[in-house]
Amino acid sequence: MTLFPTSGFISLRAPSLARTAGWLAKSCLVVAVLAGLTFESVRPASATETAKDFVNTLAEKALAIAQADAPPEEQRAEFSKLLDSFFDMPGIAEFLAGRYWRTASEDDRKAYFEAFHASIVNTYTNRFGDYSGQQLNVTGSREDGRFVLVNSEIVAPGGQTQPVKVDWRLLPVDGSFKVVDVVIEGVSMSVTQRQEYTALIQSNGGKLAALTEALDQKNSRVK
Amino acid sequence: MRRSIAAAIIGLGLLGGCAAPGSLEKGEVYDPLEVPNRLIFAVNETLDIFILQPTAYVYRTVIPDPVRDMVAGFLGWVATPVILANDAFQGDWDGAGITAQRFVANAPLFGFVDNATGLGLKAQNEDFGQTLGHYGAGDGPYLMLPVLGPSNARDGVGKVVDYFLDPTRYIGDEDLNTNFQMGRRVAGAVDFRARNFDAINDLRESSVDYYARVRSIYKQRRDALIRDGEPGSVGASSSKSDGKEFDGYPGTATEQTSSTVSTD
Repeated sequence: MTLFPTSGFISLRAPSLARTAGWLAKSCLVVAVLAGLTFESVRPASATETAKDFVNTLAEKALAIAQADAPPEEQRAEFSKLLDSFFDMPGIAEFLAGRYWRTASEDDRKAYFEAFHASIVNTYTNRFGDYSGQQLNVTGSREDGRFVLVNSEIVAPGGQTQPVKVDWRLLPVDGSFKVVDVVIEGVSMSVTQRQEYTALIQSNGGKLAALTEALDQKNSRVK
Repeated sequence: MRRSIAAAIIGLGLLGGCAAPGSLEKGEVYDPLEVPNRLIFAVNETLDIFILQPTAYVYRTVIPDPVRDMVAGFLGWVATPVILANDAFQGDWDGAGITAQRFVANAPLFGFVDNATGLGLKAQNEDFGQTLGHYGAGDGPYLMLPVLGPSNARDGVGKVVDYFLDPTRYIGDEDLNTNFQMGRRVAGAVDFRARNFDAINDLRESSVDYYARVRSIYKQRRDALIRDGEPGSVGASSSKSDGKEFDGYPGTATEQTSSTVSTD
């Protein structure tokens, strides 16, 4: 009755990222998010089992969007929808703003959220072209406080390079989950981004609006 | 001897800045030298854009894949003695065994062809900075080294120790050896940059504060390497156990604030 992940397909141009230092996190995340997985699903038994299913489904859906032959605008809209249903975007946004969230006004928070959301969509949809044959295999899961951690590995097509370890931190919400963090070879995306965002806010007099402005600037360059 | 080195690191850490690292937020990096560090970072970035990045680009465009793999293999093979020593220092005898076997398996062709990995002997990643971390030494202040890039007091000391530890340094004619040591480091940098060409450019492009991003990634990556991939708190050095940073994640106590933002 258990789940046997077979495999899926994605790829990335530089496959040997795992061995190097910490720089490569971002592109690995793209692989993680877009990694595909097919599996024979039977009714799962426990929270940790459903969490594995959740990651498999996410990977499958993301890959479908990346591989669809749709115009970029449509792809972005689809990916944006996927983010909203699988990631805890409001929670992540608040977490990334650190202590500056509390002191920000309602309007500032809204503007920041919009800019943050757009920047995530931009960052990942821009790399959709980079895939060609790696697999994401879910290797395990366990509970961690109020979260569930799902472990997975991205394996290169030929098996030449070492697999990249990707862990997913999930928050149980209404019988399903929302992704809160993705950890690539020990480097947490959320913690990294939080450090970056708060550093920028701090050097701009503690104003959340400064971060919003910086993100908007990045976003406008992409479009 | 290890304890006294650890003590020296902690001493260095205290010398490095006025504020004690105790007041740090979870996940924050102790960076009392941020102003000079950012300056050096800017210089390093300039060097990357004008020298390393173009060189790496040409390297990966002109040199075919298999040849680049041979270069990387040779560089990796030359580095195995230092890895072996640090495996041993950490009492990681399994790791030491694997590293020793890798060295022997790849010796006939000087590492140009990596047979060891195919035999299931995975390359280990160890250095003296990790050894210090393994025995509980803290990071000390974050350091941006000219040319060499991100580091901290502990890993800086580690680099120096590894340099003297390296048996390849004591082979042959001194001038020739110095050239070899230089060459291998330059080649290593070009190889690393070429291998992660798009990843690094992407990381830079998508960031709003690249310095802060690199600083955080460096710390997390080093912590993970010290733990050798084990999750959670193994020793005092790796106090950054999984998820500690997420204690304050919105949801339970801050339910209301998190729901104030809607996705519509």
